[in-house]
Amino acid sequence: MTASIATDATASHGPTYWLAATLFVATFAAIVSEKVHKTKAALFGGAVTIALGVLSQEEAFHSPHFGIDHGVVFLLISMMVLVNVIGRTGIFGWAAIKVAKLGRGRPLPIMLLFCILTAVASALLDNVTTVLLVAPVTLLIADELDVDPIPFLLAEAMASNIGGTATLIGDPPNILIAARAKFAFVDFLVHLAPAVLVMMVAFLGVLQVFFRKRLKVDEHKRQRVLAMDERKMIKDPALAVKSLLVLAATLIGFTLHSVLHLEPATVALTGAAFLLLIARGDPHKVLAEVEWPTIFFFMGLFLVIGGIVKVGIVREISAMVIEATGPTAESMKTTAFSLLWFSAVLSAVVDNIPYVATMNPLVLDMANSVLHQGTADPNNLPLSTLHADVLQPVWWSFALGSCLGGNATAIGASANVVVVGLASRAGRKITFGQFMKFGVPTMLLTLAIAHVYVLLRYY
Amino acid sequence: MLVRDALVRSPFVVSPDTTLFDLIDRILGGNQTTASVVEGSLLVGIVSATDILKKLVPSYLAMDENLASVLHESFFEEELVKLRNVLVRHAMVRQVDTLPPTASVMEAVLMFVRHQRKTVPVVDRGQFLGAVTRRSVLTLVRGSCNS
Repeated sequence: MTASIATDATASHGPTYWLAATLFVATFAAIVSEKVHKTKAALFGGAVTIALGVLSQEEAFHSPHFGIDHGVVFLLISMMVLVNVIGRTGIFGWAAIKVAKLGRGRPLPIMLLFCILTAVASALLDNVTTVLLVAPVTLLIADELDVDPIPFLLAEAMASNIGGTATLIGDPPNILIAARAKFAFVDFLVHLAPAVLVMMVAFLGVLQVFFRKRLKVDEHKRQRVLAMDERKMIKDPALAVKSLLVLAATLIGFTLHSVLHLEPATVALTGAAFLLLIARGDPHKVLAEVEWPTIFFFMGLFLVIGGIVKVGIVREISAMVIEATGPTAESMKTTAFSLLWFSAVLSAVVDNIPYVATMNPLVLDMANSVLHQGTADPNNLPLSTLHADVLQPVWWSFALGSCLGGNATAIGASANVVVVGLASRAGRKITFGQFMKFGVPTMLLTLAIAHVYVLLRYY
Repeated sequence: MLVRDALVRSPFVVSPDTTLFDLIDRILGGNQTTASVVEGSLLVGIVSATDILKKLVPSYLAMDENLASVLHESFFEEELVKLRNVLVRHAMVRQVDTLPPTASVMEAVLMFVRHQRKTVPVVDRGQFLGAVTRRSVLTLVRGSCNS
């Protein structure tokens, strides 16, 4: 087994080495250029990685180190199934209208409450679905109040990215980091949720100051919102209750990892399968709505990155970084903060999923170098190394930077892309510049809080 | 049998600058609900009664149909006002499947049956010649049975 896990040192500069490098660079360039759909690029890159023998078929489909991470894939699919069933019950529309009435039909309280709702839902579900479910109600309420929906939609996209940072399942970078660093659901709650809470309070405070005098409506428009009957939104009350119970059980299952010893993917799959079983009707529609392009994107990406890990490219880059920076247990503080800001800037301009998938093995190599002087197998580091005190702030900074950086630009996170698309469908164009005016200050605010949080908590 | 055998040479045609209210009048005054949109002799789109109704539906209702159940009573009337100055060019479908006059009538029938089309514009070398409708095909069917 050791032979298959160890990187292929003998082939380090042979044709396989250069082939893996070329496939990685070409795939990444295609994804970043957006000339080809990212799923097509990643899947093709992954397929060629196997077809040309950079990865063997055994490694591609069965190796936990170089191949497709089925845990991540099944966690994503299962959560998407859960959300699809829950979304069909109308419970989100019910919650959103309830919240709008709670805000007494006043635009600013509604904006703030919608942000809280979006952040909480994004922490428990995925960001894109949350935004897709909240945005239509937002547009309706904005229409009824006769106010510009753009600030509402932008604020919700930001809240979704901030909220998603809090949990293992909230944002794909966290799922990837958890898979490599072997963190449990509770670890994210303990280490990231407190920081996210502070960020949300600060974000809502800034929104309040900025929009206090800009959002005014007259009384009869407010009354229209107050007159809405949210109960009409729920089409299947029995399924709504069942879905929420299954979601709650799934979330509890995540937190009981240390007792049940079940991986998040197992818990989510059990929840999704059970919900499908008790929901009436053909599962075809629910399964068809799974974001298959995202799933295949992940699969392709795992293979392409598995290729460069196997031939030793990641180890070489990591060796160069280690030689240049000479990380020691003492200098890991600089590494953590560099990773926080570097990840944020990069995640603002490129998709954070391939970025995190590529950086993960680098962090593992660095851990090996610092804690084992490079003598251990970086793909098989013990938990005591992965979760060492000196490494914890590095992982959390990495997660914070990768998730929060996405807020800066319209293409930085999937939720942003969705919001811009929805606004456009509603006849309201959000320009790249308009997004950045809102997004960059939000990113800087949350990163500054993340920086102080890491400093105070870990150093 | 070819498309040209079922061709209606003076079909229901509107200009892209027709208002939707004028289009509604013409639909109500005739017996067709789908019009070819023609500029000069070029086909630029197709517009139907459904396209007019789509303009009444805000995008968010299309995203979440459940929202229609919480709208206030005067919502529909307010949306009607927004329709007042909308032109056909803003409501028409631009990507139109057309047929040449030499195509088999079966191609038109398939478009009616499988894609729920009511009218298929007939275009030859970029020039709009007319349209095939379900009625014109049925007329052809009846005529061939008689003969």
